[in-house]
Amino acid sequence: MPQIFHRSLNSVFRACFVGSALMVVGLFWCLWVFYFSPYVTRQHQARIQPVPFSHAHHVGQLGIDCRYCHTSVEESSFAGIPPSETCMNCHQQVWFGSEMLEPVRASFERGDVIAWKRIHNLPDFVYFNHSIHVAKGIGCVSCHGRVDKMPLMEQAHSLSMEWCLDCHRSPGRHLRPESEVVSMIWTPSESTNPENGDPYDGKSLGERLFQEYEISSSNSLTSCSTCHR
Amino acid sequence: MRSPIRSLRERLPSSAGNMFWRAPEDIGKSINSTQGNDAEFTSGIETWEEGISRRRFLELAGAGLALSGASGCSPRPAPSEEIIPYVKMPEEIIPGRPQFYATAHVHQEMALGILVESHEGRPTKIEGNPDHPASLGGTDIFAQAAILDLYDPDRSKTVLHHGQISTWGAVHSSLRSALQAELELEGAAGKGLCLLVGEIRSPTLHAQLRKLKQRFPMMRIYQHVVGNRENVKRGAELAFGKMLETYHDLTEATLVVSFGDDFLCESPTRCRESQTFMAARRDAIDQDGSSMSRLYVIEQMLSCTGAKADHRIALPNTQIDSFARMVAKELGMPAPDATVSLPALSRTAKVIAKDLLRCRGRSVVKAGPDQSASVHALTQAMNAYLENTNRTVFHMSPFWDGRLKLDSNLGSLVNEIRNGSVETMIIIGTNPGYSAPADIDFIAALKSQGTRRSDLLCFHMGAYFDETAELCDWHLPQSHFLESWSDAIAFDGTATITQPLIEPLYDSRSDHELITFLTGFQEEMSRETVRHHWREWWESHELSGTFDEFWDRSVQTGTVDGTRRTTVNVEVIADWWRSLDGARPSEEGVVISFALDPTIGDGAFANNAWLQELPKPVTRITWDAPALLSPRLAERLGLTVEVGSKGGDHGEAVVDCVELSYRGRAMVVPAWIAPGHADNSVTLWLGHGRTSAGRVGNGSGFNAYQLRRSEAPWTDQGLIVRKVDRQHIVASVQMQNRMNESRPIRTAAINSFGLDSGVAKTQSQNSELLTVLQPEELLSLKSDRPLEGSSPTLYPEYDYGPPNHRWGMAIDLTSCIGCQACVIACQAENNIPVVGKSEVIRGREMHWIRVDRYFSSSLDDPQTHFQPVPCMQCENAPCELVCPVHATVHSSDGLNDMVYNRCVGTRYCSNNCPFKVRRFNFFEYSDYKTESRRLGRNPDVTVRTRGVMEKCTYCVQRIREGVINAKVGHRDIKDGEILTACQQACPTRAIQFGDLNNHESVVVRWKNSSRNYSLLEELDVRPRTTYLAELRNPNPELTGGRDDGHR
Repeated sequence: MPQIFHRSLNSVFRACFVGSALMVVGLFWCLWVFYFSPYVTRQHQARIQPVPFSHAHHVGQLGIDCRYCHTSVEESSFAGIPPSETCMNCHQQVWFGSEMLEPVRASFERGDVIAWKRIHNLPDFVYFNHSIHVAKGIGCVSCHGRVDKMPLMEQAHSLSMEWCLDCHRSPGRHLRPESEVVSMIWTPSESTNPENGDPYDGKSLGERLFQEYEISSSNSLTSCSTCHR
Repeated sequence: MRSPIRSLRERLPSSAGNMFWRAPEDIGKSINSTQGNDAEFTSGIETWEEGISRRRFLELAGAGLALSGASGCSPRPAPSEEIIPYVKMPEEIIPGRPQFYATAHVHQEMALGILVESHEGRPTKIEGNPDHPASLGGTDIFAQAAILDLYDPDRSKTVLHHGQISTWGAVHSSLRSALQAELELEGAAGKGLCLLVGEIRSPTLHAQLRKLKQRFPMMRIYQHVVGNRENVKRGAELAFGKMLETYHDLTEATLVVSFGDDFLCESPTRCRESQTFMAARRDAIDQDGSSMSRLYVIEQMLSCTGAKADHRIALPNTQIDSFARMVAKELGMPAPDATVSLPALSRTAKVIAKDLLRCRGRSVVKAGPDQSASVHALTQAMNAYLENTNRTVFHMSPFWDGRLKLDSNLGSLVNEIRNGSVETMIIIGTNPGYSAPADIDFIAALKSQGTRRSDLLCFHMGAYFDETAELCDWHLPQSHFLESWSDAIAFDGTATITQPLIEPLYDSRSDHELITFLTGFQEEMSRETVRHHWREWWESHELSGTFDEFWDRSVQTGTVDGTRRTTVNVEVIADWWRSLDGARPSEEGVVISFALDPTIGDGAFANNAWLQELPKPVTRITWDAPALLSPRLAERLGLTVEVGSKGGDHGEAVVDCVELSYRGRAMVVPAWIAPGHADNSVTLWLGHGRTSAGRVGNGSGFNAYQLRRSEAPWTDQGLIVRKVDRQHIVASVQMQNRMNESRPIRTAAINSFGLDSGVAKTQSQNSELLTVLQPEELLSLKSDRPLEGSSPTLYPEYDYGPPNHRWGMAIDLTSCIGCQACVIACQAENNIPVVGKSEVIRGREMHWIRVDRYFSSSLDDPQTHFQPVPCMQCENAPCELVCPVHATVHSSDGLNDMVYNRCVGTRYCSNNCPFKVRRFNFFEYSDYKTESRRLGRNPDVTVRTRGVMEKCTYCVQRIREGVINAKVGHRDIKDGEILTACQQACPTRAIQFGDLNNHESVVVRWKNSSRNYSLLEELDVRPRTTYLAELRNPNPELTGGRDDGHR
């Protein structure tokens, strides 16, 4: 019986074998990239809110402290979204007639609620606690990014488990002095080392604060039940 | 395998296998012989949930495919989630942090102070109020489960008129016209008006009823309460010649004799009495054991209290009176002659009397509310004779104003209705349509020719559209106690102003609001009514400060200062005993006794799925109510029982049915052979067989009210029992989750324990007395097994050094009374679903903590042991090794974490768990659909879906919260700051949890005790949950010198 395939096709078959293996790997790589892409994680996607509240204006230009509105950030798992009353503290005098603020005024007068779109949305089996992060010197900016530059709120990081663990494995480089937790622009070099008077670099300050705050071992911080219950 | 009782009995003395057996069928089987058919899961996983046909399955599968194309593929987080902040935030609320409010739960006419956890306005969990005298921090199953009733989707939601939706406005106009007509009857206002009420526990409501009665002087108020305390009251009247309230203080009591009183689990003061009784016992053991109290229980059905007794005498309820008279005579006090002669018990009576005289002034004699008034009179007189008054027994004047007469004779109400002398009837919070005795045909009275009577206008107020509501013209939804203001009083008169936690979920009103309208045709919020009542009280008591201060303090603390009654001194009247009934009861037939169901009471909790699925203490039956009878009676009748023996079917018990004929009525019910039940008697549980309870409660068990008669509501002679050729499947968990442990319980008698080591004998593992832990063994446990576990291991050791924590738990089996408050508390805290009877039969119940019950010694008079079993959080956890996806892993503080979102449902972990504490979601048991159920979930715990394994986590959400709070506050965690849900609920404080690194903690002290042991020690899995051996204090005179803790 004559051969169906000519000997010259051998190299084509070899190329096909290798090629299909590469394709499978490539497919998984594509899925991986897609899964962590900003499209899926909704990173950097501003959303339309009932009131176009600008953190860039309130934080960046006016310099209002985060905790003026997010009152429970130091004592609760939930940082707190300000009640309409808090907005009206200023806006009963400033921009009182503004059309943009109509929903806030309506809410305050009539008691209607304002339904804000949630930006930082963790899965329901994740239990994140703001108070412990703030108490241990994690800056707001570390997770929420430069909100002072966001006209509309957006998610600065992927919020994937990989991203959480990245810090939980070695929290040192994200630690800052308690007084600088809410600062948007602080860098380690702004703090000076009391031992020699030199400005800190990120690593040495992190090491010092890690000791000072008595932060748990990475073994403890990466235990499943630290976040999942 | 179907085994006749006789062969079981024969197996008993020679049994070299399980000395601790869970069911009669278990007797004599050796541990290893069961292994072959002891697979945990049923072999046929294809067993579908009831009601899913092949066609339905294909429909669902098809729909599932279609939907998965539409939405299932997106890994993106849901874009639509919203955050809705307050408009004006209440000052005291910190979003994300729960709040606790004091209020009270009322059961059996007495208040239990509670603290209710509220998450942003949603009550989710109930805890005991440590400052309340009835709670002392503990709770019971009914208080724990009350939260589920609040969110019950079957609750009545709107006003109904002849079954059609109506409004409160229409109710009010109908009431107004009916009552206006009554008022116009000069001098006879209320002649045609009848009120039928349930439990009255609120002073405000009582005062309101008095006011209503003034407005309608001819009105009759009837009261229908199944578990009433009539006999208690009549007994006090017989002994003292007047109405009195009595309570007992067990703190100093060294001897308790209970005539049919299940005071540890069933009485309204159970939380307080079980706690004080067990705390005193623990203190005594900690000292040298010589002052440990002793408990004698004389009862028919084996109860929790009977299970904890040092000596239990099983007697039919009809003979308990005679035995009490025998004891009284032996005490040397004047007492009537026994009506039944009990020669076999004369020595026992002598010994008990001798013991009572020895403990003069430090003893308590108790009687159960279902015992006759004569027994109550006898116990009151005995307590007085033994000089217990004002030492352990306290009397108070009656709580309620005697001017308001509540007639508890339902029969005369039915006669009135039949005569036509009732034109308007208002029924509030009681359900005679279901629970009226069989000889009072309440249903027929309200009907003429099969329909509602047209000459009677009937209103019904209740939380459910129940059997009674169906008979009435109007049905008015009643608010849950967490939705309305009211007040209630505890056993010693301490009042609690009960505050609501949430606005009424539906269009309901409280009973206060209805009575206010009846009195003045005006609507008033119940808060105003209650405030008004207490303002009057406050003014009459001339307290310091303003009323608002008084009100705020009372509401906040959960008790009203100054309401505790002062005790009164009373004397037993001369010749009290002559008035006691001396009639000799007939001895024909078998004794029939009725008892409130241990979990669903008189039927009021029938629609509470937590309570229905909670295994009844002692019998371990769920979702059912067979007739309980003794092994000897079962033997005579030729009854058998067959327990499913294939893997996963251990919940199935096929039992024979019997026909009960009693005073012209007959009923066929399944029979349950209950070891320890008094011979020649049958106990029936009330509360089952409902037809309009709701989706959960309908159809469970059999309605025992159909045999109950008004003249003998609790017990009577003359029952005829006959075996019929029918079988019934009972779901009992007693054979489920068996561990291959030959000595799960270690028990000893206090007088042989550790005090005199010369008494101790070394017992080999196979000897007959292997059940009994000898002092040497107890002591050796400690040296063998230090906290760390020192046996060599190939696995790398974990590092738990400070500042890390090392959580551990110890459970004291001496203190555990088997009440299972821990089980319901765990269910509420951890969002644990219920599965239903058919799934329980397949061994798929989901409770994370179970309270195993073991029997030992004889079949007819067994010793009973309780053992709560949560996850042991093993150090060398077998489950962790076999999980292919790392869904169960060791945490840095020693917990076996369960990661639901990783679990793929292989169930290897559960197969490999020697303690059988893992639970698998075979179906989507969690209710994701019902809106109201979602409100009640604990937001700190994931709701698990189908295909996921779950288990006890030591309430890891509470641990993490406690640790975070301590760290944020820059302080160390105090011992007792973090409580697991089971620990917090436990009325006897039998569960201790804490950090083993903290050497000051109670749990470390317990674990260092010589009583400490762990289950399945030979496996070296190093459980973190260990047990303290059970000690009893039997009377050497009754054990015949055998100091082994057995009778």
